[in-house]
Amino acid sequence: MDALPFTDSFPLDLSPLDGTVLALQVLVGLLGGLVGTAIVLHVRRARAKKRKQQLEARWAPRLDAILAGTAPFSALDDLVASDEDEAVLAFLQQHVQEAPPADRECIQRVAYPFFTLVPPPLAARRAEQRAYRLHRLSQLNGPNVDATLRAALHDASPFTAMVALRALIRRDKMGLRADEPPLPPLVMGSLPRFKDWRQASLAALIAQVEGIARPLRRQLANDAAATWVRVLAARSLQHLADRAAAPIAVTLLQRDTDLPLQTASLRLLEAVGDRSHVPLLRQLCGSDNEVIRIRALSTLAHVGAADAVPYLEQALDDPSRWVARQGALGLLRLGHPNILHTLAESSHPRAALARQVLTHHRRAA
Amino acid sequence: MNSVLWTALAIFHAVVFGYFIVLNTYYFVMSVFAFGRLRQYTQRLKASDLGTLPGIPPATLIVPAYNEAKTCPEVIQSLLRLEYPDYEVVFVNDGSTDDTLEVLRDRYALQPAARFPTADIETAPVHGVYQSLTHPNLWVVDKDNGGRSDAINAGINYCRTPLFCAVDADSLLERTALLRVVRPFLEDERTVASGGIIRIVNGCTVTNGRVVDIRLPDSWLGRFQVVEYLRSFLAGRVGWDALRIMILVSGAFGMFRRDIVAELGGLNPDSVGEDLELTVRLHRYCRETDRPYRVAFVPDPVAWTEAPSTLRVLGNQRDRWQRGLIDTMLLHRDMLLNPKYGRIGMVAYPYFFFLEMLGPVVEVTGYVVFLVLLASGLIPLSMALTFLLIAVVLGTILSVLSVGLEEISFRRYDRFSDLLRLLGLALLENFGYRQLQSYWRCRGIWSYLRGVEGWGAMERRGFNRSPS
Repeated sequence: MDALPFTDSFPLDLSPLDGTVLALQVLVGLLGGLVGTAIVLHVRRARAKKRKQQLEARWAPRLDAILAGTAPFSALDDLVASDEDEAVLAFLQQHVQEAPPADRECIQRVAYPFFTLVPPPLAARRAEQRAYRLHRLSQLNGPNVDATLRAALHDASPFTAMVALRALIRRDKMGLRADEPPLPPLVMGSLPRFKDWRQASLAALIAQVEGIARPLRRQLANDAAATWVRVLAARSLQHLADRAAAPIAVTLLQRDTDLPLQTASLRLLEAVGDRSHVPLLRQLCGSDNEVIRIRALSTLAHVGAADAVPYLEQALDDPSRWVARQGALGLLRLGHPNILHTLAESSHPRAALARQVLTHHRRAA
Repeated sequence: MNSVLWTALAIFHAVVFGYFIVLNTYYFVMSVFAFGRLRQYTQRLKASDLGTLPGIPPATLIVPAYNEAKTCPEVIQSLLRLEYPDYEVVFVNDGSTDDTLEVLRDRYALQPAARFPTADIETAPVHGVYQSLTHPNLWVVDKDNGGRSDAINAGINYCRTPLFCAVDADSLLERTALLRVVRPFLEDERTVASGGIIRIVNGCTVTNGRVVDIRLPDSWLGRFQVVEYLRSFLAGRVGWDALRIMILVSGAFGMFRRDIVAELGGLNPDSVGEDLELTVRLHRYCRETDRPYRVAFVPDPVAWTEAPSTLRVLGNQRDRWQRGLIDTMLLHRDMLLNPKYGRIGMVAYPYFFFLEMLGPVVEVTGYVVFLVLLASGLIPLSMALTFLLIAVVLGTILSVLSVGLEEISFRRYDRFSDLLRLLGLALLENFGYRQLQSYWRCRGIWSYLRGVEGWGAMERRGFNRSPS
């Protein structure tokens, strides 16, 4: 090839062209490798899917026979090769999820021996693997399930710990932990792991634990506890409608506590309060804070009966439309739609709001 | 004179080369991070049964619609069948000139119903609010035309739930889509927004509002867009999420905290890139108020959307996206390379500003100069071909990586023939499609400079229906 006519003057040194060709070759090789990898991945997954179907076709009739009572629990063992233990557990897990309650225990007994042939759940390197194996162990009621789940509450990964927590709570609800250590201390001790979780969801979850109310009340009353724990406790107690928590909520409302704790206490009182709390609630209806006024009105409407009506009516003139709305909803709840009907037909600034609330009420009814 | 010309060419060559290297390195790095995150996510799915988690917050689906009479019945049908414990659908008819409202009125027995507004975001006048008698969780807000942002803002004004999800009226959500996109809000209370993945429904079969058979589109244009979306979502967004620089929650499918968005005044009605602008504004607000926050991306919940099927409409779309990008970048330019905004200001924003916003100019100019140099014999053919091949191979590698990410994760295109097509498309898109993209984006820059506004019209063909 002739010498390039301008190389002497062109500012770029073009001799790296050879390097460029080399780079191109490397890139083409890389591209070829990636394409090959994509194809291999696809073929492997297609084969895995086909193999799974073949295994299921082999195992399903035998499992049906076991469930029908015409074959012993160990009848599946001779159909499972030594490298198929993980696969058979996955197969059984899928069936236990879909099976009627009567068949679940049977499937769990079939699965039990296979757990001794696979690595223990917490030995997995990746958090997601540990979580999956815990989930599987729990669903199939494998060996040492409770001890493993309890240990997993301290797992380095909050995701894995949450899988363990949910599994423990589920087992507790199903009565599968009769001889195991009580759950409430374990749950309360693990709460800091889940600090970032959505409080409302966490509160609803831990409210499912049998016997959790007492430790929750202790935390709610504990001034040394972190605010978020106390708020969580209040929300859980609200789910439980725990009347014994009412005095604690009242004490917190009578003191100048954090706003989140005050609102959580008001929500709790809404679930467990009674007319003896009306004076306190009336006082809070005059709070400078809009959120406190809203929650106080809502609670008043739930517990105050006739005592509440004047305050709810007064709230219709509140500068905040949210407070006014709460007042309107409260009046409906206490069976005074006539006040809203009158308002809706007047020229009062809140006439439109009254119509909106009445419409919503009619639709809901 | 010659030396000046050569120097200028050399500098230009260096700029183009540098841009090329940085852009491809960026995508490659995103793909690597996306790989780890996708593996983690798909494994987590096996251990999760979110549907049984108590306390999932109620949500509102806000669907802005303009002249969607053809597709809105199927869209609403799919939205009313979602697996989610407590949600409402607020369909905002944004001054449609076709019979969108009449179709809905007939299909869903709409009746006028007063509804308490929860926010005061200024919008075009609302004529009426309707509730369905057959599906009480379906509401329709009828208003004057004000654009997509304005319509969503009207929906936010009537949103009663702590979360809302903006969904395009041409999108079909999968049944568990909401349960999956809400997940970041459950796992981390700091979450303010969460985006899902958009996939192309062209070529797929839709039955009763569900995508039942997933196929590649019949048209080349549609197919190229599939590869592009895989690159953008599976490599791009998953990578952003892994690096915590999620700067864009797509307007076609994103879930937000209502209170924060309402506090920010909703979407910017003056921006055609309102989704990017809102996400950037969320970042800005949270950082300026020292509020711990997270913007997440979930690669699994799918919104199927109809992609443009003609060059004209696709060009208009890309033109608009570029205008929206420029609009946002300039509006919030003080975030650029500003450490106050953390990774967003120091990593994500510079990428968008220099590579996405200005990149098309570099690309198109690069093509033109390259062709001129080649035609004038100033560069040898061998060198030209080598550089061209490098560009093609690099571009193909990035797309093949995205196809690979699809293979290791969700593998929606199950057929081997589809895989081969996708791999072929990854190569072919370098011979015309990418160049068209660059042209359209440059056109978008020019449109922006000329002050062009508006969305342009999207022609709806409707979804492929199977006989049922």
